[in-house]
Amino acid sequence: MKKGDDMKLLIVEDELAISELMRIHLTRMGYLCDTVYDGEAAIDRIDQGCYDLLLLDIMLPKLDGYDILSYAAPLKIPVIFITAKGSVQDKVMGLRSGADDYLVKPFAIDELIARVESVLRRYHQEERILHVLDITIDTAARSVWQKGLLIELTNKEYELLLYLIRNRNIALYRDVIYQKLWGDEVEESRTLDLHIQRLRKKLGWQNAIKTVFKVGYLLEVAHEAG
Amino acid sequence: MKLAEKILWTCILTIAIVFSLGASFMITQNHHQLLKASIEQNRITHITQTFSLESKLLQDSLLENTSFGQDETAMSNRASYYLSQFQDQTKQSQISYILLSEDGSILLSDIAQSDLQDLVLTDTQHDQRITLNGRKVMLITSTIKAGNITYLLTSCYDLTSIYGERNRQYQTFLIIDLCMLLASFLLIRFLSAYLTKPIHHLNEISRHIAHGNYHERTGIQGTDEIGELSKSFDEMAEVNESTIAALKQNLEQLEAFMGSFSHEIKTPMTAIIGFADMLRSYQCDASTIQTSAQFIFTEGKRLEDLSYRMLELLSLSSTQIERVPLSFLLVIAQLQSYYQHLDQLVFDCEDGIVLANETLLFTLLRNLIDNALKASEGKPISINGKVQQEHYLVSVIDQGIGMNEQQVEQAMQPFYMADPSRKRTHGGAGLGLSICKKIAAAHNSELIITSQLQQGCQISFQLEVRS
Repeated sequence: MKKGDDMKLLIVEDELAISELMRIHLTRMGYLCDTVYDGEAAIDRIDQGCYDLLLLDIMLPKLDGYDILSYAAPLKIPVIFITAKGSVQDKVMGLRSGADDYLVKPFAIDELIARVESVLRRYHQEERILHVLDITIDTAARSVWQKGLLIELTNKEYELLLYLIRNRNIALYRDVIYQKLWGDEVEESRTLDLHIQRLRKKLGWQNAIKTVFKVGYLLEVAHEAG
Repeated sequence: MKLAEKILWTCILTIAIVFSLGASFMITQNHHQLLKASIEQNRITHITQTFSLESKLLQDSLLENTSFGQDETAMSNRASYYLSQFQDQTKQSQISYILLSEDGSILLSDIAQSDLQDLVLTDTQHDQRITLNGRKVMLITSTIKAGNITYLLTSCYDLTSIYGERNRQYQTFLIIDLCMLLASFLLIRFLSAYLTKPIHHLNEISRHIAHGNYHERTGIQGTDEIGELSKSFDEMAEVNESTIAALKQNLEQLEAFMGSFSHEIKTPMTAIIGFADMLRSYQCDASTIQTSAQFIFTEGKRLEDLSYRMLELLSLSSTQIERVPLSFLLVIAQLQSYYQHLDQLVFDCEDGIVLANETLLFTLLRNLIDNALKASEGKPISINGKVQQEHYLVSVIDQGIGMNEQQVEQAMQPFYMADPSRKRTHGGAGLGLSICKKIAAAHNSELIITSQLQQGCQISFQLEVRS
């Protein structure tokens, strides 16, 4: 089950609240996260550890994000800048200095996750393929295979499947699921329930996708080792 | 039509009209004088000749060969003879004579009878000026008594040449006039172009300035109307340039302020939204819930603090502050109570009555002390108050990390924090000093900051006293 397994991320952000926010979410996604709060500590950690991705704030005490970037460049570690400096000039400068992506505060946590996955996907081809229970998903081709057979899913079904997988083993609130995938504030009729039903049927996952009373749904995956 | 052309044509037209009128007048005057003189001359000649003829005929009428004046034919012949003599003498072929009998019938005439048909030749009282055969002539008639016979003699003087002279003068004038106008045209064209050149320059500079080159000036000297206009224009351009520079600066300051402000808001908002989103999306374990709630709370408080300070800053701008005489030590007592748990603060203040707003003065000192606490790393901070001649001097002195020159300059800008990474470990957003600056201004005072790196910082201000 390679879903963020063994991916080590270094979060360099001096605002404790933001740092914790990122750490909690990314850890939940399955990444291993280390946090430091200034530039010098970041350099030390990079030396000691072996990181797959750096999330850097630009305005840091002691050394700024650009300095850390140039230090990490020869190590060929991908970098995402996370910063409040959002002008076009700043973005261009950041990307030109060699960052792989540039995220401006305030950001939605979903966007952060998506960008982390995107950058890692570029660097690690294995990320492309997800194995969950008895299916294999090719995230680049957006195709789902089960026992050698291609399962036909609509767009929404596919996205719902990914969402469940990303948040596996966690009880998800139904109206939030609806909002994140369909965008409307209020759920119309029983769209979500219909989609869950269809997913269960197509994948044969009636037992895997559980209904959680008064909450919503949950995808149960047996605990992965490690 | 351009101004230069207007000037040109106006001048030319004026010159043409004026000269034409003047010359016409002169020529006409001239002509009249000449005519008058000529007429006078003719009259005199006529009178002379009339007398001469009369006396000669009188003599003849006493002679036998005229039958003692009875033979009319003979007398007429004599008269004719005398008349032709006159013509020879005067050598003026312009004189023609007509001799008439008393009743008006023509006896002798140099002029063809057919031309004389409509004329009245018997009027001895008035001269006549008429046109005869296309020539301008003057007729004078007088009575001649020769013995028993009475004749009428009409002299016809040719005045055509005088008129001819007038016409010739007109023609000459016309030619001269045209030449003169041509010369004037060229000269005035050149002059008017030269005089209006500064106007072109002015126009050009105006356009440059309109394109954004605010520093340009016309530089036209001179005391005439154009010079004055240029001077006023340059003054206007000066004011224009400095106003635009001031507005630009204001705008930049405003943009910087807004930039900092929105940054200050973004960070806590990201945290609050991020944690709240997590809480509502799925069931979290107890420790995550606690952590999220904690962060939402602290970041929310931060926003609250920020908004209060923003309001403070804004309200200081708009309202009038009321000041009353109060004892400075009263405010000191409040501060001591507020900071009672700290022993870092040393209050050393003389008593005095100052003109101040109690709440604002407290806020001001509290902000200064808070800043000092953040910077002083535990070392003592002293708050001094001294009565001076005209004022009461207040100082807050710390021995902390201090600031360099550049930081001192920037210190009172909103959101500025001397530590470039905006460390938030102590809270605050950098608005403290801007608020202090406004409070000081409301008290007719300003903050004086003295500092050196690693040696501490002193901030002083003065208060007005009431003795």
